Amino acid sequence: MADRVSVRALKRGEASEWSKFVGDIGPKIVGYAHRMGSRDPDEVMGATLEAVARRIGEFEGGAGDLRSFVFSIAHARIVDDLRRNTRRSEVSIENTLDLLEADEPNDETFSDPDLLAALERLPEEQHRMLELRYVVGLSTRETAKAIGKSEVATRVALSRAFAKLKDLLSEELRAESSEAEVAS
Amino acid sequence: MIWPSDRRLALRLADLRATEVAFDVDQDLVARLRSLAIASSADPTLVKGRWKRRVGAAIGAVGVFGWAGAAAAGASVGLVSTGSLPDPIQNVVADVLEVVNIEVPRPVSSVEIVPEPVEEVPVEETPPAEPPVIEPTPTTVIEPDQPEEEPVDEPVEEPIAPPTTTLPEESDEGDLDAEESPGRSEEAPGQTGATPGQSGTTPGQSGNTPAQGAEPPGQTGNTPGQSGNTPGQSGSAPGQSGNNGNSNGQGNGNSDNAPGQSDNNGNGNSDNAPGQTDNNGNGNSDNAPGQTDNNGNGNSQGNPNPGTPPEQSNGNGNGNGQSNSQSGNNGNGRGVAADEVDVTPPEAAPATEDTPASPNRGNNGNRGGQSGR
Repeated sequence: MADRVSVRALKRGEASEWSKFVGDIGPKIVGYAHRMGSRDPDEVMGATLEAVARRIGEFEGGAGDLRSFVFSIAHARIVDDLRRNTRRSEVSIENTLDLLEADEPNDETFSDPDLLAALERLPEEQHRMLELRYVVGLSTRETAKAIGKSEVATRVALSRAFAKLKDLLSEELRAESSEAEVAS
Repeated sequence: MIWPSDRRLALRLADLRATEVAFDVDQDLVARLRSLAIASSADPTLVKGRWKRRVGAAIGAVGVFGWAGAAAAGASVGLVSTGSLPDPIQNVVADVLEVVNIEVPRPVSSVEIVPEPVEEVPVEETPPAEPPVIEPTPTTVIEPDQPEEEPVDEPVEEPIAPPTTTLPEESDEGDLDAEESPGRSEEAPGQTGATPGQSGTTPGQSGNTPAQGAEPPGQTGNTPGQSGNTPGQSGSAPGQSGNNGNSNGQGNGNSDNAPGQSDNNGNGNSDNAPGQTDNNGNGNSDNAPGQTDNNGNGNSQGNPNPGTPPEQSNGNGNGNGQSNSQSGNNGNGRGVAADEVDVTPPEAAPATEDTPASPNRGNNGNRGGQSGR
């Protein structure tokens, strides 16, 4: 995990530390970008890591702060990617198949489609906070730093987002049960 | 605290991590990131080292010999300027520096001392300064154009002693004792003379023409302060005691006399009801029914009225009294107490000069005021 990453070693440019850091944080950035709707999570991951490497010299803090720092940069890249995709009117033929494959739900990739669907129905900020807090595994303080809010406000917003997610899931359950009764 | 349902939901969210696809770490990416990290981290140290190198290069460019020569030059200049060098060297250096117009001290032995001629300056004798003559400054006498005139009190006319009159013995008040007799101003209290001279300056005139008053008896309408200017007009109706007050009285006769009451009003403007006497003093006496008020002010003059019936008295009380006491004989006239009237002269009141004694008993205003009861 990132806890084991030494920020000082990363600043010195030690290859082993960077390999460990990329192997640990890379998949999380990709999954986060994918769940947040990015069309090219790998690109988001590469751009995020590059931005972190460029600014690691002026970064001050521990491993937890580094994770908040990484995901704040990742979120900015995701937003840039979403805006770029919305403006893009043409899609190259080469990437079309890859994009289609990425958009299709896959049992191996998405184990809980109902939960993912409910997450997508949440507002972007609530979705983002739940992703960082429960999926990525950041602490409340790290999540607050990543989204740029106070810890108290983040805690309140998290509880509200969680309650709303529960409501959405219960609605889906009720809808499914009613459909099952009608079918029977 | 996450409730069980919330905890299940949190676990479901955490299970989404499993969807994260593990990928092989690209070593090219790692090398690039490493180089970027080194570059970003090394920049501050590079800047500091750059300045150090520049300073070192500047120092080294001068060289060891250069710094040594500069130090020697500085030291020699310092020694020369203070004259610490040996004499021959000091001379040489001074000669050299003299070329470039820099003066340095020479050795003492080489300095030629040339005595300079001293010019004698004639001393001018200056006369002793005379002491300044101080001329006495003339004192200016400011003569006022109009010298301030001190207010001179005009002599007040001494009240004329009223003529002696004799009251008829048949009058109601005829049995008065000599001590109680009114009109003796020397026994009058001194307080009544506070405003002398205004009210009794012409005493005795009002009573000279009794029974001529056109005013119907029993009416009091005397305007304060104005009625006294017409002495002699207020008179008693026939058959009444005309004790009219005070010529020139300026008192405030605000007396309202009910019928059957005697009132001593200010300054002779009282109208006496039939069978009543009035003592007109100066004052604001309001007499309750059955009471008399003597607001007499001295200077009473008794004017015997030949036309007065014996049962009536003619008293002309001209007092300066200011008191408004009821049933009191105030003023210089010293009201005479009748049956119920209390005569309470003020204590320790000296007799005023303005109110000379009147030997006439019946001429006192107070006397007349009481006779009306």
